[in-house]
Amino acid sequence: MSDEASPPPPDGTPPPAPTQSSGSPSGFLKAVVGKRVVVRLVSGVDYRGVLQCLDGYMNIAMEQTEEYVNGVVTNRYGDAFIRGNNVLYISAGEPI
Amino acid sequence: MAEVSGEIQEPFDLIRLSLSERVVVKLRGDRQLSGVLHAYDGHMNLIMSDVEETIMIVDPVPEGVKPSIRVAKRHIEMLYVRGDGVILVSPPQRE
Amino acid sequence: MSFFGFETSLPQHQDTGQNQAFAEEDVAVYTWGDASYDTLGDALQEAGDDLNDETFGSGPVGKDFDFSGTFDNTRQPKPEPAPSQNIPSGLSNGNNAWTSNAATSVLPKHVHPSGSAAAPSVFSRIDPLLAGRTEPKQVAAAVHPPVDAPFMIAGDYASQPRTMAEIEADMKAAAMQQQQLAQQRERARILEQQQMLAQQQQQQQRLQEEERMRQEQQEKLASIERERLLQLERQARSDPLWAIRQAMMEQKIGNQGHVHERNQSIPSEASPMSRNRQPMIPVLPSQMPHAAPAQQQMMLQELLYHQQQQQQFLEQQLHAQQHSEKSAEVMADAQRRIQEAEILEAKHRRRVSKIQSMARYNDLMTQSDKDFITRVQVAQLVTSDPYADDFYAQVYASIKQQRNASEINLLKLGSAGASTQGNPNQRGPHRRENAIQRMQAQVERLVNNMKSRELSKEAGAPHGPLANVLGKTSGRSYKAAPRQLLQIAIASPESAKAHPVKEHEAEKAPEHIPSHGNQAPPPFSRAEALLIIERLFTNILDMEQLRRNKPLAEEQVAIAAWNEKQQALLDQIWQGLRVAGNLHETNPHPFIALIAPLKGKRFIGRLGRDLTDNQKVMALSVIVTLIDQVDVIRNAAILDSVEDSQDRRFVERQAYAFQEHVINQGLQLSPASRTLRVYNSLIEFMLENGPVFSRVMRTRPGLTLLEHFFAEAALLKHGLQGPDGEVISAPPEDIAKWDKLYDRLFDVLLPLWTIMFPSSRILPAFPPDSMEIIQVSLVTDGFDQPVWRFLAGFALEGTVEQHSRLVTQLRAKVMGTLKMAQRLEEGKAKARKIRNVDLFLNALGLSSSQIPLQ
Repeated sequence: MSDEASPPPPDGTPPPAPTQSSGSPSGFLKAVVGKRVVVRLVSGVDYRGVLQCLDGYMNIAMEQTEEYVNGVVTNRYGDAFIRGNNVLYISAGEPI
Repeated sequence: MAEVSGEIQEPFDLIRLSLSERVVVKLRGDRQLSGVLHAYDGHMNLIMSDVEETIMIVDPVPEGVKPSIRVAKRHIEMLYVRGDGVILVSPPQRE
Repeated sequence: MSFFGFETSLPQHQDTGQNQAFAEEDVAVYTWGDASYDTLGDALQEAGDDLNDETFGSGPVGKDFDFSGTFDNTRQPKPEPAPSQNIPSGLSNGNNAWTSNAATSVLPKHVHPSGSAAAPSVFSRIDPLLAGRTEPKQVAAAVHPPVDAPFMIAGDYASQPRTMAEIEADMKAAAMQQQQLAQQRERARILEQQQMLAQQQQQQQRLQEEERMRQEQQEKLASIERERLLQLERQARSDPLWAIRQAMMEQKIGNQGHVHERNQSIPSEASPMSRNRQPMIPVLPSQMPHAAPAQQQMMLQELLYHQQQQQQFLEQQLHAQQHSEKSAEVMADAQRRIQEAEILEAKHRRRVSKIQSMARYNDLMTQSDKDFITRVQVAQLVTSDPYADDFYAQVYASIKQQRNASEINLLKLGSAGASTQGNPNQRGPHRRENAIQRMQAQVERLVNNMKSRELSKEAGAPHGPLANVLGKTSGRSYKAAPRQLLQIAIASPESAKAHPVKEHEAEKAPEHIPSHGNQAPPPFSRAEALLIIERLFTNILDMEQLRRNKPLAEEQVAIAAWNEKQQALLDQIWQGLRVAGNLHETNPHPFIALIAPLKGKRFIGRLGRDLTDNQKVMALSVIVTLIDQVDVIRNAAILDSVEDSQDRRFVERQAYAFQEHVINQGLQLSPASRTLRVYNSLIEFMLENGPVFSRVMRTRPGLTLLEHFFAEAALLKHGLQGPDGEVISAPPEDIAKWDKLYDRLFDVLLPLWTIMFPSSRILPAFPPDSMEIIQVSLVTDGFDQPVWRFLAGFALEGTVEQHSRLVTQLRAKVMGTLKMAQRLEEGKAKARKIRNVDLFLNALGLSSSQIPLQ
């Protein structure tokens, strides 16, 4: 299950390049709170949804969450708590 | 004291609001739990009751063949989940 | 002082000059106590070492310390030919000493068993008790009474460690016993010699006479042999040794016969000559008093030994013959030397026996013990502070510091200059200070860490009061343990308010339509409702804690403060419930939304004594006014199903929780506030909802709620029994209002009654008159029962005219139920159906038995 193998999600436009994040990781994270994000886990599974909040352990609370495995929606959760140690990255899913 | 608000300020609020509610827990090893959450801690160690565990078993198949997934289920009255196996927790979806 | 033979004088590096030189080296210098010599060393006892040699030996360490096995390790102590008591005899009897013991001393370990042959006489001389006829046990008792079993020679020594005195006593006793046995064995032979031997030993002069006689004998022998020797010499000049041996052999044979004669004539001569033959006797196993397997070898050795001894004797004879003229002075000299050698030999033997006895316990230290000591020693060598682990050193140091006031400042730990104030030459204390300082700093750090951790836990940490409720799980042993990856300020409320979801939904509901809240936005998501409830739970826990800590009634100030606190908490909870406010701003109402989750209903159940009656009435008003927003009413349709499902069970639980926790517990009014007026208005609120009311009445939870209010109102209308037995009636105006309200309710409900029965909603889905419908009706009978009950109660309040209207309205329902009952077998199910109907009919003064059925 490599990252390259998973095609971009069918429903979304490719995430735009972060333009005006404040230049630090935590600045970026503050900026994406409340926005649509893609959270990739180390296992390769993606979660797309609205980032409610996150903490220093990279624990993440999301809403309207869709789970993508190999680009296919496999689950939907209203809210989801993702344990931080599984998170590979968080990317913005809409302009910040 | 501030008024009691319902805003989720940190991720653990999402878990906290699910106390004594039925939650879905996604675990490592293609396992999923559905049960009533009774307690949790910062490691996401969980105490759950009335749990249904669902195990997705991907049977090994030759290359190219679509793998078939078997689902095994079992019921557990009371369960302690060690936090390091937890991937995702989803609060109840009712309404 | 020599201790175990080790050199105790250490290399002299203790003088100050050298010490300073060491200070530069990176080598641990053990100078404990040299800063202030406490003169403890002087207190060492240097005297009393005279016996060390006897105890530990003085000569070079030989095979004596080889305990591994070359030594005979049987428990039996070696037969000791010459115990200490025998030495004087050997000394006094010069001939014996010279002839037999001298030879014996050549092979110290190979003991000559016959050496004890002379012993009886010795004992008889020293102690009359020890004379030949004395029983061995008595001897032992006399010698060493405390020893219980002094004659255990082989195998049964007491297993516990023994003292040196005991060992010695045993050895003595063993030797004595052996002597006694030998004595018994030889008694017959010795008997005739005994007296003369005793005389001989007592009189030194006799010795010399004997010596002279012996010399004469030797001269005779010499004269006899001289000729033969001369011949032999001539014969074997090419091989003198062979010739000598040859001569010895011949001489031996010749001598034996000769000596026999001498023995008879001069009994005292027995010693040298007879001893040469006597060895043959004890060698025989049958005659060995305690023949052990190991002694087989000994016998062989002894055979060899005796041959050798004979040779020696012959050589001596030869020598004597050759140098008879010098023999007198040579003898004297030799005797002296032999005596010295004898003393040494005796000492040596005693030592060997002692060591052998002790050696039985010399393996008590196990390998792990040794390893432990090795570790300690190695640790001492490796450590930078050799005294760190030395408890006594540390205690000593601290005591010393306490005593020395000037040093107290030195050891003010943590102060940077402390160590430099000390004398730099005193390396020991300096090092200790450093070590203690380091230790102190470490402990301080540990304590601080722990404190800060506790603080951060209290200050709240992500999981607040739940931290460690399951026990401590801290530790970084596992890679998946939560790790703080970066510092993120918790999302501020402002950012959370800029919530896309909320914005979306706000857009979806463009305008507020107060009358029909269906399109009003929800106050918060279900998740938020749950979170609010959790926080309210925290508040109520705080309050319960506060109540447990209520100050005593006398402390008025504290009481006031406590009241204030409690009121603040109560207000906060009330605010949190969001009962007050615009009824139609959101859909559902915030309060209704809060009680939607099971947890919310349970939470209300805990507020029974925390809410004022006024607040409860307000909450009830909100519920009855907006009853169609209440989750159990909205979801009640699923209850009209006979199929079991998870959803149904969920709503069942919710419906139960609503009635039980919200209505019966949390919002139950106190008796003082239960007035007819309150229930009048609550029922009125329900009625005013018109279409909603009829819909609500078709739900089980809605009907239950109305029944609850109706029952309370009916009770209050008829009046309550007061504390003094009098009936407290409701105010007349309230009763009048109630009557009007009842009529109104009757009219509204009359057309609804039939459909209010769950069975009426469920059964039409099934084919009539089938077995299936009867089976299902058995289930719905359970659902119907509350309706029948309510109907009965409702009917009781009605007039006769209203009764007849009710009967007309419900005739079909009654008849249908009774018909169905008729088709059932006698039993519980049938009885229940009839009982349900009779609930209603009995209220009207009728009975199902009166109804004729075709």
